[in-house]
Amino acid sequence: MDPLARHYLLSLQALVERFEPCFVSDHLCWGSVDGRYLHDLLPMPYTEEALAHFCERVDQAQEFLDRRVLIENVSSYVQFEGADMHEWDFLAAVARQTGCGLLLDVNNIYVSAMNHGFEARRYVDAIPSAAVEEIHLAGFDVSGDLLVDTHGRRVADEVWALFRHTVRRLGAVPTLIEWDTNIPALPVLLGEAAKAAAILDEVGHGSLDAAA
Amino acid sequence: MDLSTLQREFVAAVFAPDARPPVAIIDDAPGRTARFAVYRNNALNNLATALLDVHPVVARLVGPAFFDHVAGQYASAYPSMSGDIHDYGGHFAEYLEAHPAAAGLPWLADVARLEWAWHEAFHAASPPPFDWSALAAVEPARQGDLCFMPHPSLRLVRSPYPILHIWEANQPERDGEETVDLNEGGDRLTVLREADHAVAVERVDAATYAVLEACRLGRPIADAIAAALAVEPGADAAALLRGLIGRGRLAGFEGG
Repeated sequence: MDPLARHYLLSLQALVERFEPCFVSDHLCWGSVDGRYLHDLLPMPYTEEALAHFCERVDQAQEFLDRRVLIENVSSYVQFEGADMHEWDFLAAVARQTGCGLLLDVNNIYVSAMNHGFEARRYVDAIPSAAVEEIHLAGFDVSGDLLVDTHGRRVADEVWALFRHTVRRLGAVPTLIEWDTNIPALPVLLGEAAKAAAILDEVGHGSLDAAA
Repeated sequence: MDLSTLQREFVAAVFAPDARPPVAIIDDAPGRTARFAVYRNNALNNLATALLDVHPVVARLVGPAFFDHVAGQYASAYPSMSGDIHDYGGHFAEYLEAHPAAAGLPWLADVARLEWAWHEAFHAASPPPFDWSALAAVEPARQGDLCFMPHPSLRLVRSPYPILHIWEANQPERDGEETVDLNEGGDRLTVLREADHAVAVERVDAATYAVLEACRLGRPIADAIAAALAVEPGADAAALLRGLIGRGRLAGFEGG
C-alpha cells in the first residue's frame, strides 16, 4: 500500500486554514498503488483487512488535520472475490471506529444498488443517522446494463424517492446537488435545488446548499 | 486476496494490452470485461483529457485521431506519478520528439514544450512583491553576489523553429489559414503569469534570455550579466536588470 501522502495533507491543511470550511470530506475508495495514480475513485474490497487499513488512514488524517472528517460512499461497478462485508456495514464500522462523520451520496447508493443487485433502502437504513452531516445528489448515465455516476444530468426519479426515504430517516441534512459535467443552464440546476429543498422542508426545518 | 495485491492487479489490468480484468473481480452479468471497462475507460480518458487540455495546439496540429493514439501510448509509457493531475504530461514533448510517426514535424516537440511551460506558469505559486528597499540596503560591493530568483511562474523556452508564430496561428479561435515559414528563424521565449493571471508568452533577445537562464540556475547576478554580455557585448546591464524586475520576471533575491 502506498504511504499516506504527507505533502498532500500539508496542502490540504493550508487550504483548510485559509477557507475554514464547515466540513472536510473524502471518499471511501483508493486511488494509487506503487506511486502510480489513476485519478479515479477506485473500489475497496470490503474485507476486515481493508477496514482496519482504511480506519487507520482516517485516524491519521483526523489527527493530522486536528478535526473530524467526513467519509463519502462512491458508485462502484465491480465487486471482489472474498470481500463479503456489505458496503453499508463497512461504512458504519468506519464511522464507529474512527468517530468520523459521513457524507451520504444518495445517487451513489442507488447506482451501486442497481449495479450489484442490493436493496438501496437497506443501505440507508443501516447507516448510523447521527454520523451523517451532509447528503449528495446527482444524475447518472446508463451504459449497457450498468449505471455510471457522471454528475451530468438531472437527478433520477428513483433517486428522489430514495432521498425522500433518507431524509425521513435522518432529518433535514444539508444537501448538495452535484452537476459538474454537461453543465446545464442555471435555472435547471436551481430547479433541482428547489426540488431537494421542498423534500427537506417536508420533513422538518431544512437547510440547503446548492452548487454546480 | 490482500489489499496490496488486489490494487497492483487492478492497476496492471487497466493498462494491460490484452484488456483482461483482474482475477479478483466477481464474474457476474453483464460480465467482467464490461464492468471493469468502466474503470479502464475512466482512467485512460482522464489522462488523455488532461493531456489534451494542456496541449490544444499540438492536438490541432496533428489532428484528433493521431493525438488520441499518441495519448494512449503515452499513458502506458508514462504513468501519472502525482495525485495532482495538473502534474501529468511533463514528458510529452520528449515523447513526441522520439516518436517515429512525428519525425516529419521536427518543431512539434518544441510547441509541446511551449504549451507545457504555459500550463506550469498558469498553475505556479504567486510570490510576495519585490522588496526594493532590501535591495537598496545591500552594500554596492556585494551586489554582484546576489542571486536573483525568477518569478515562480517564469519558464524559458528556446527553439530553432518559429514556435511562437506556430503557436499563435493555431490558437483555437484562429481559422488555421495562416502560413508559417519554418525558415523565419528560431525563438527565445519567456512565459510568465502576470498580475492579472493572464499568461504572457514573449519573444526576448539573447541577452535577456541569458540573464534569466543563469538566474534560473541559481548563479550570482554578476555571472548572469557576464553571460548576457558574452552573447550581446553592447547590452546595458543595469537597464536590463531593471526591466526584468519591473516586468516581474525576477521576483526576489538571496544573499547580500
